Amino acid sequence: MPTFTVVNIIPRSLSGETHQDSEPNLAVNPANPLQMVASAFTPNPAGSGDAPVYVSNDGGNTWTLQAIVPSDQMTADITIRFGGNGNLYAGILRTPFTAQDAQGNPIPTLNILRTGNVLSGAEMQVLVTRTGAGVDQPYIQAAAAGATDVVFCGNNDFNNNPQSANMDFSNDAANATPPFKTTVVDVRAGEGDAPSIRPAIHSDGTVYGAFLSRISGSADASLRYNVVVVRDDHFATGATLFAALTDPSDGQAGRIVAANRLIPFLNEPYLGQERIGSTLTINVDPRPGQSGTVYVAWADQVGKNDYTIHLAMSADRGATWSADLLTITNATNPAVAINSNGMVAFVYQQLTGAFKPQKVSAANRWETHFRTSTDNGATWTDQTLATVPASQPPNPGPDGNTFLPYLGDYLHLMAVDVNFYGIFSANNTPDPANFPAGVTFQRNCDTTKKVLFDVDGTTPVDVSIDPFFFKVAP
Amino acid sequence: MPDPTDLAAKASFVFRGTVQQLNASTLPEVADKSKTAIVRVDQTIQSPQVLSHYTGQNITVQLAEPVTAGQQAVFFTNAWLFGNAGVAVRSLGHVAPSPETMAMHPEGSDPVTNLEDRDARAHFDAAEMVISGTVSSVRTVPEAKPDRAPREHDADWREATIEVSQAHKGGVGEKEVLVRFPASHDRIWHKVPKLKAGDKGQFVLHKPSGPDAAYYTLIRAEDFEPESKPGPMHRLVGNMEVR
Repeated sequence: MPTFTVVNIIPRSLSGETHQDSEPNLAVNPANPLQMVASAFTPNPAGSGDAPVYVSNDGGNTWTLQAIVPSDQMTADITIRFGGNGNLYAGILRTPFTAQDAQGNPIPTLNILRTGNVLSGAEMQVLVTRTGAGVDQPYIQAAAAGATDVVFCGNNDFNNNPQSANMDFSNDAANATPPFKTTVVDVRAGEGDAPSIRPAIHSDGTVYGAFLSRISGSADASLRYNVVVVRDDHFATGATLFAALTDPSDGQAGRIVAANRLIPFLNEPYLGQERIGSTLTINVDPRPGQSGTVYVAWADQVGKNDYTIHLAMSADRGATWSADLLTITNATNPAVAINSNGMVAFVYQQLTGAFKPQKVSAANRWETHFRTSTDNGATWTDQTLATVPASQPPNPGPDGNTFLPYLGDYLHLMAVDVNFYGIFSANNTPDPANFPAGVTFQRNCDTTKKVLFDVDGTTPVDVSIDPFFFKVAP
Repeated sequence: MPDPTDLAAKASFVFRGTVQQLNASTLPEVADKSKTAIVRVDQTIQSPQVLSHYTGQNITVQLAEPVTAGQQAVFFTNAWLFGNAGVAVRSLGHVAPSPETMAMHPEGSDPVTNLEDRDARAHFDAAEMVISGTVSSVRTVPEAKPDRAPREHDADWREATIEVSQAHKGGVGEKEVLVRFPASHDRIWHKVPKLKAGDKGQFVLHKPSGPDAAYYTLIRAEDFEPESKPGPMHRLVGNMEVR
């Protein structure tokens, strides 16, 4: 029987906080899996200074919040990953946004950061700064490559519109002054790519990238995309990058996994209190000789007003793809990982209860599911990690203290050896019934009365969105 | 010796404390204790809410300069680490308690209010215009909609007309002012007040970058304080008028 560990990672000294700690990410040090770093839209609790990350040095059982990210109070996006040498890398959108376009909209700046010792408390070093017309939603992956690290950071680069799917990468990221390059991965003349550009790295040099390439539509509700996967076989060191995989329809780089999908971009509370518009994940089987096995999941609208996740798999390096292994209606935030035994794990968050677009009721719940398969996706287990009220806290809330994305545009799942590690954000009501696999709170609470308390242990604290770490030992 | 006024402008958590133990930490998570000390907070002078209840307790300080056990000093710090067993702060510097440090804030003043007032002063100084007034109307701004696919951080501008009742900085003689604010609830913009007709209070306004515009912008949470919920800006403006 698998063992589950679920931990609310808000430290006890922050028991009074009610921030919306959404869009979580997680890094586990492969050289020392007791060491982990987590991120979310958590501001510096002091209201000034660097943005913080959560740090655990005991396998995720306890967490502290450390302000080491060079961004004013919080980031506008952050993903994090360890390399093979204890280096922690981060891809962030740095705040404040200092540039604006002609209409006064903010132009985001990408930073890629590194620290060699996350426990030192030292501010992370800036390796890359790019702005221009703007760079959005960095999603970073890292892996050991001999004595150094390779780092690939997918991002939506407005400098290359409409082919904005982009990778910033380094083949020697552990170097004192690492060389970083940038390359566009969408070669087709489309109409612009969605914000999610996701890399996946295998230690044999294979790097996959996934993105959503817009092919038609101008109104927010009518945007249509191709789901595209690209591949490079040499850590992007060759003359032609990410061109190893072509589509039979046009011979161009980038295999179209799913064509002409309706993916509305509705930047408003639509699915429960969550927005929709760019949901994508990809991962590769990490075992030696298995880099040809790759999974991708995305969300689109198959009916009148749903938001549906599709999980597909390729066993031939992305050349051909399965039909849906799983189809999950009214769900978001998929993530997939494969462990050292070849077990596939899949996480997502599904809105249950009667669904009405742009409406939420007390009957709606956000369920976070953890599913596994040992037969390449033919059959699946299903463990609910959380089932929490979807209507609380309200969005928008009083004084603007709730925002979009409500739970996040992503969460994260990864495997180190046989174990799976992940993180999700959810309503933090301390009700054991909401966490069927069990849960531990660091912050003050009474799980019998289902009430959160401030640092004094007596003053009640409002419910908010918190990040929850989980570990599954199969 | 560091200038206490300069340090207080850069530090959010200022306290008078007594060094309890060198090369030590109240938090097990602090691995390198070579530059840390356990310090008892004897008096909190300036503080964010989250650190305002540590008076009388030991905290961990990452030192900017050496101290000795038993030494009393005023520490100028920023938050560093929040754990299950307490907090750690980074010191920008410390000075010996003196009449000058005692005079930084009145005896018995609220440390959280002291920090709010410092930040309100900086906010006022950075603004183009500070006025009291009432929102008379709000409209969408089609001309500010980008000619491209929507992006998640787009502001979705609205334009409010504000009837000026009193000018506190700039705006002398103005009867109406046009103010653009983001209607977006994206994380970049969610805290910025979403004005509606009838809103009455103090507005802290900024000039947009680029060519001269006929409007001001409202882009921070602190840029509007409703009359029904007066805060640091009302205190600051009130104090200025008393003087």
